Amino acid sequence: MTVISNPDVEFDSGAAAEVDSDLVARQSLAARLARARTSEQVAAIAVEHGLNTFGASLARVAILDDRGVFTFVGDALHEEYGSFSLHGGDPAVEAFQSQRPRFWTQFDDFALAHPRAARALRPLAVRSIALLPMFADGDPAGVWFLGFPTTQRFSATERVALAHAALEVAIALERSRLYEFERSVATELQRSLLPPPVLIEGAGHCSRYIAAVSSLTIGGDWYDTMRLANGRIGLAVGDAVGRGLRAATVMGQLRSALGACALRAADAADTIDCLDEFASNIADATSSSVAYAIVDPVGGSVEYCCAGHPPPLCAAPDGRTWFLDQAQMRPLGFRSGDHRRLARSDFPAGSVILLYSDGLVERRGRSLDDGLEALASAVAQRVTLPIDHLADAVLDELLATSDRTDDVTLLVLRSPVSTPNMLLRKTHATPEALAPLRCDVRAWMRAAEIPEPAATSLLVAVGEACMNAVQHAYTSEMHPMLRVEASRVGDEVVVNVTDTGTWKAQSPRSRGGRGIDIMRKLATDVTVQRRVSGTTVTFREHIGAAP
Amino acid sequence: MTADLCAIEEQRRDEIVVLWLRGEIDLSNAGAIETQVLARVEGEPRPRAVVLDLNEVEYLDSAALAAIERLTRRTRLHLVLAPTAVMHRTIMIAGLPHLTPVHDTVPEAVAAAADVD
Repeated sequence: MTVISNPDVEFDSGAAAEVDSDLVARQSLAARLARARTSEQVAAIAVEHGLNTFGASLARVAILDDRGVFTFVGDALHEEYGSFSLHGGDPAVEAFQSQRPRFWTQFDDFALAHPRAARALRPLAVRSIALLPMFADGDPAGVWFLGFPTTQRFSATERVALAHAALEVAIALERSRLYEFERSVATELQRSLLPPPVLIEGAGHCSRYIAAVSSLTIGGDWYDTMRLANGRIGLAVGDAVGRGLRAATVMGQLRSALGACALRAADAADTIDCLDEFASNIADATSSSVAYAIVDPVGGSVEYCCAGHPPPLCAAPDGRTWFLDQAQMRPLGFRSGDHRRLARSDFPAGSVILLYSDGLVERRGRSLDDGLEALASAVAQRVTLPIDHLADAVLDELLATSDRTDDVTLLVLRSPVSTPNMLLRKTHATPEALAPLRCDVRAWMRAAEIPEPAATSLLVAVGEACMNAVQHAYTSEMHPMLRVEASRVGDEVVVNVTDTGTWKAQSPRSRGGRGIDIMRKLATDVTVQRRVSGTTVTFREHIGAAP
Repeated sequence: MTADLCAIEEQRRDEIVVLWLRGEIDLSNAGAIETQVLARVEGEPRPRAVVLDLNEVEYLDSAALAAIERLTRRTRLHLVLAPTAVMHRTIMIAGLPHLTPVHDTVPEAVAAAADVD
């Protein structure tokens, strides 16, 4: 039918050839639509099909969402096409209401019936027009608009073919809508299940969760941080089997169970034994994995236990790295008499520990050992960086050249430290905490031999960032924390201020706006990064070599 | 806390009050310092001008700067801040000299304050 490879050829020539090409066209449309996930992808395929297969010079799909709002997806051979609208009282709406496709062989007929729409279309030199309202199971899904550069007669066969194509697109739109709904529920569930970070005193930690690139469903990655007795901190990263809503549900159950087990258990292995028992009673939880570590910042040690999960990585301030791989055992949920193994390691002040999901180190065509080695080397090079920067840099390096099919979770913790190269202080975000914090930063600046007047300017700028964090922390219901990290590598000084609350939008004249202004004038390089978990302000200064 | 962070000493020279601030002013004590200064500004006998010596202030944040800014609207305020003062750059950057005169020394500030009719 309307396969116009050459615009000069009228299309009712050669009935047999038409049938074949029609069949091919429909099959290719169906095949392509089957791979589309989002409604935008469906619409883009329809638009492309309209242009390339039906020979339209103007193709556009208006997707109707649940709220009755149109989203336009389209492409055309003309830039002016953007001015064409499907809104209010126009032919598309009419076609929608009548629930029947409309065809105009002559543009003049169209112009007579719809002068406004015709005005917008006239410069595009469209000869014939087809408007295809799309319904899936009787529910409106969208409108498909096609404008042709040559006169089309729209024979009965052609009309049926266009209507068939429209039905295929409508069904695909409906499918994508269900899919998007499930994804939004799953994403929402996962977000609600993952904890807000930075609520632990005595150490600085940050987390990253990155969804898979090639898939829209969420994975089963989860993480948690727990305050335990005697200032110890429990850290967990786990991976529930499967994807989507089921994985999200299992992940939530495992995380809650681990939290409960951790409070009662004697040690890390005991905790995982307890979680094992829980998991063996949930069918979908079998084969899920978890790495669990308990950090003791005061004693400078860490104990851990891994169930089918890649080993956590530690790095000392001097760049030495080691994997916590002496307690690797089976995944969760397999009933077995033997208890989990427990292992311990040193964790000197200022060390970092990284827990992660396999998505970070596993890559098609590369061994796991190579992946672990790449991780260790990426961390070793950046061990003195503030942890947010460490996390981002490691993710950047490891995920740069990958066809990521899995989601990735990374949890980083550093114990408090103050050495000439590195400072980490964490405190409650209250006005009274500001002066003691400044005292620590000053002492560090002296130890790091940062000369005046750079030191004072940096101190005031950092102080402003801390003050901002405190002022805006009051809006949060939790007990917000404030983390200051500083490092000096050669002539480079990096100071990072992180808070757990999100900064409110500020007008430039407000007090907060003034503070930011001062901050920017005093420091050479200031970046503000807002995340769901809070705000990070980073100062970078290049100072003269130490005297 | 206020006492720990910042001390205020007062001297009266005729109708001019000189306040000598020593320490740090931040979000935690800016309000209290402002109140204490205001008590002197608006007490009897009412001073003609107030000289605020900031040479020994070791830290100021924008909460403190905002408090000083508000004080300039309540009284004739003269600031003392030598180029060698720790907070010199911060106060210059904040633009306080546009709002109120800044002098290097207390005698200069007092002389300037007394000169004004």
